Amino acid sequence: MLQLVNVEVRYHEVILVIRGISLEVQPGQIVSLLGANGAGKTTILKAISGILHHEDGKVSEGFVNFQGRRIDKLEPYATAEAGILHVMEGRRIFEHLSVEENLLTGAIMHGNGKTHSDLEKVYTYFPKLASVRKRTAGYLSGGEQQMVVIGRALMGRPKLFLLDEPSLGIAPLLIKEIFDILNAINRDEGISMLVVEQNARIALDFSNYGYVLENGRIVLDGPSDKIKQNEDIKEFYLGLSELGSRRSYKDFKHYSRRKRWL
Amino acid sequence: MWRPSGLFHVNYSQEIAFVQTPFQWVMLVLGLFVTFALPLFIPLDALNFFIKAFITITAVLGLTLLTGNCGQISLGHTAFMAVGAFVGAPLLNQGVPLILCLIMAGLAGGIVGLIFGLPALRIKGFYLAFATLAAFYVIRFILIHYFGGVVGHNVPPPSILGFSFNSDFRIYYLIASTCFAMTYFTKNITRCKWGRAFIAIRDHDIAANTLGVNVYFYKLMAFFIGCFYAGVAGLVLSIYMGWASVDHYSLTNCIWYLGMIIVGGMHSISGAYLGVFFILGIEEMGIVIAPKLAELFPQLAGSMIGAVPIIFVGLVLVLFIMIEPRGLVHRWEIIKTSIRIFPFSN
Amino acid sequence: MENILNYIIAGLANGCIYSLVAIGFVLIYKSSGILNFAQGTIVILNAFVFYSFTIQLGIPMVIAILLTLAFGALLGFVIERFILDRLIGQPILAVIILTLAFSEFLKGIMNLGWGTDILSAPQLFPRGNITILNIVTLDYSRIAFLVITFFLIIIFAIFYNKTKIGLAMKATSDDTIAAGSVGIRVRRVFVVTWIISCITAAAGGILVTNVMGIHIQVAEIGFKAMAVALVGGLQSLPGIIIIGPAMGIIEFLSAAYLDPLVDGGMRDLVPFIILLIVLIFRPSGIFGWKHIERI
Ligand SMILES: Nc1ncnc2c1ncn2[C@@H]1O[C@H](COP(=O)(O)OP(=O)(O)OP(=O)(O)O)[C@@H](O)[C@H]1O
Ligand SMILES: [Mg+2]
Repeated sequence: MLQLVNVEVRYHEVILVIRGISLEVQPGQIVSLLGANGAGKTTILKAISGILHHEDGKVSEGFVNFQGRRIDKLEPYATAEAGILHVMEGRRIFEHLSVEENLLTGAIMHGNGKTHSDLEKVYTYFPKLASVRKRTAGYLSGGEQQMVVIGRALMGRPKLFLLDEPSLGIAPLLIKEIFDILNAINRDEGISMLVVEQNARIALDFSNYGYVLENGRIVLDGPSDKIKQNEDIKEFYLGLSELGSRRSYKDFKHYSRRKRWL
Repeated sequence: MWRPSGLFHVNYSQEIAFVQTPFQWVMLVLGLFVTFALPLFIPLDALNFFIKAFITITAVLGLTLLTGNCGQISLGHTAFMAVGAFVGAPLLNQGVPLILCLIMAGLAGGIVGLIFGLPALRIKGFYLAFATLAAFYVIRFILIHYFGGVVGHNVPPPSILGFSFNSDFRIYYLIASTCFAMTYFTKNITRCKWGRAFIAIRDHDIAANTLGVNVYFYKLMAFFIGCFYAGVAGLVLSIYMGWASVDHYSLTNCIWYLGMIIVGGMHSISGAYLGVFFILGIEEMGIVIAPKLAELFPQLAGSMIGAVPIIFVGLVLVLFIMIEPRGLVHRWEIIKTSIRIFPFSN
Repeated sequence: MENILNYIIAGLANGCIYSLVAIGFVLIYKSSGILNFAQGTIVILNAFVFYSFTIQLGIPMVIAILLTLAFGALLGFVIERFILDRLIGQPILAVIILTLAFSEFLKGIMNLGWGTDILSAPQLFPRGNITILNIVTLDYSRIAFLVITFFLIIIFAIFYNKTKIGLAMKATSDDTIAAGSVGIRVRRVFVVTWIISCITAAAGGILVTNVMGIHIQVAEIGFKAMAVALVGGLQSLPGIIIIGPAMGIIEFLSAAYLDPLVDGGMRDLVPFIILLIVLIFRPSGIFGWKHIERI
């Protein structure tokens, strides 16, 4: 469905952020993308959705394919029309619009026909939103705002969701709720998802397949269960360590293991 | 300015020195010499152009400090010039010495500028631009209604120590000297603490504040100093015209002045000179061409003379900002660099 | 008493036009962050074009009005395509000077095309007054003003609040990038915004020159409308719709009662004085929201 082949991304023509990665999302699949801060996860999503163009960034090598069509030159609205909806990092709601208006913006690109039933669908997935539908979105809590943003993307009838850190700044219980809903959406609507997460445990539980990104390169990929078993992942991303409390010995080894990946 | 490679500053006073290389000394002396010898060789038309240019430079230097360096946009600059003229002209009429009149005009412009700069403490950007535009209309109203009106004041030819500036030829020297004095003053401000404070405020006023720059003080000072220039330039203009009238200080001129600092690259003295000569040159072209166009289109002849220069300058500014928003100085830097590294430039 | 009421109504009618013109550039400001200082000149340019259509070419009134509105729309489209692209993200000073220089350029062109005399606009409404309860005397054109601007503002409000493109405009003004990411064609929204802005300018031009005559000086109505917008709060459309008429009323009242004290001219000054006062005490306008800036 979505393929990135040897993609290289540069900002301002000089800053090389993504150094040749290949990645694939199958129809109906949930794929997670893990990595430290600044690894380039957000940049990959922006390259797919075309938001890169607004930040003076460019796919300088390789290409992005979606359903057999090359999309790395498209503007964000065009990728959205093609069925890729990007839920951006940091809950970019329309602050001065009401919750319902926010949701309706997602349907602007489609005809009027199914808007109403789409809206009902969003409210069944997120019952909380139905109770605050007339409220100004800027005053909602962080968790509710995240729901609005996901609901808004859902209104665009996506084939593929790009989710950038949906758990950012949200309490653990609510994170679980949101991921359960995402799971249901994936199951019922058959929407594929590419999820970027800092919280590796949740992401790996949630996804079928995972990629680990470091410094703009993919250093590891595989089915999520396999990745969960990987020693390095356990140690660096899941915080499990076989040696338990005796961590101070390991500093040197951290370094060497990272080194091996690069 | 031009600086050969291999020249290093080993202490701070060298870095901020007024003249940094022998070459610059040569240029400075040569430039002064040419300026003062100029009137002996050029026709009166050209002389008038240079007079206009030097007056404009005096005014634009104020904007270079206020807008270019400190980032405070002022659409009221010509109004502050008018204040200078309307305060200075009556003083001249009463026989007050010229130098004193110039200083008084500057102070008047500066103080009025300071008052109308007060909103700058709370607003910036579009808001400040519009507040100064409002100031323009308010000042104009006050001048018209309470300080002599549209008719304005007659300005007698001033004199220093018995030397009367009673011809364009003589006035040229007065104006060129004023302009150079103000240039020297500008250079000194930009290379001291104040200049650096201005730049810090332009780049980010809140950050400057947290770094210990007294933003309120320096913003007001920027208005005071910038409008001081305006006051002086305003009086000098009225001396040249022999008359002080609000119509000499139009909003259009103010727009051109701001255009000049953009053309010149905003914050450098050389940029101000470049911008003024460029825009005035375009305007002059319009003035020269207008009568010829009037012959071609006799039915439009009536408004040709007034309209063509404005159309020229307006169009050039629009195109210029669209194509090279960073100014001629920027382009000049690029050319200079590519000459210096010649075979390796692209 | 009778006088006051007359002034108030006349001011109200004029003030509505400020609101109409202000809506035009506030929309542009909200969606693209550009404050168009040339708006007043565009208003008067449209009035000149209307003059040419009716008086010079003898086109019937209704068709001429439609043609003028179409001209306004075309102008908006051209400006967006030609200039706006280069302006987004440029320093504010460059934006201001570009729009002002463009405005001077247009003024020069108008000067050539239509001269500097005050042209009298074609008669839009029949002359005459009605007197209500012996208190207020209203001439037809003022009534028409009130009704038409009111009507236009209502249409606009419906358009802005009830249609998809209105929603897209609101979303774009809140967050341009997020709007793109949900499939809104931001560039198209910009075009529509400019077109609407220039159409309101055309409508304002046709109306206002009907009482003021057609002359380049009328362009200052743009600055007055801008004062209205800033006093109301640049982002707040309701604020502007309220402040416009209020400003009109204050203007007429001060012209009536202050002019004798200062021998004239207060009308053109009052909006600026009010603006300076409001900016000092409430920098973001009376109804505007505060802009939060982080380092
Ligand atoms: N517009 C930009 N211009 C220049 N460099 C950028 C730009 N955006 C991002 N970068 C750089 O690209 C790198 C990757 O950034 P990116 O936002 O993709 O990281 P990330 O993996 O999403 O990190 P985080 O987990 O903190 O969100 C960083 O080093 C960042 O500084
Ligand atoms: Mg990120």
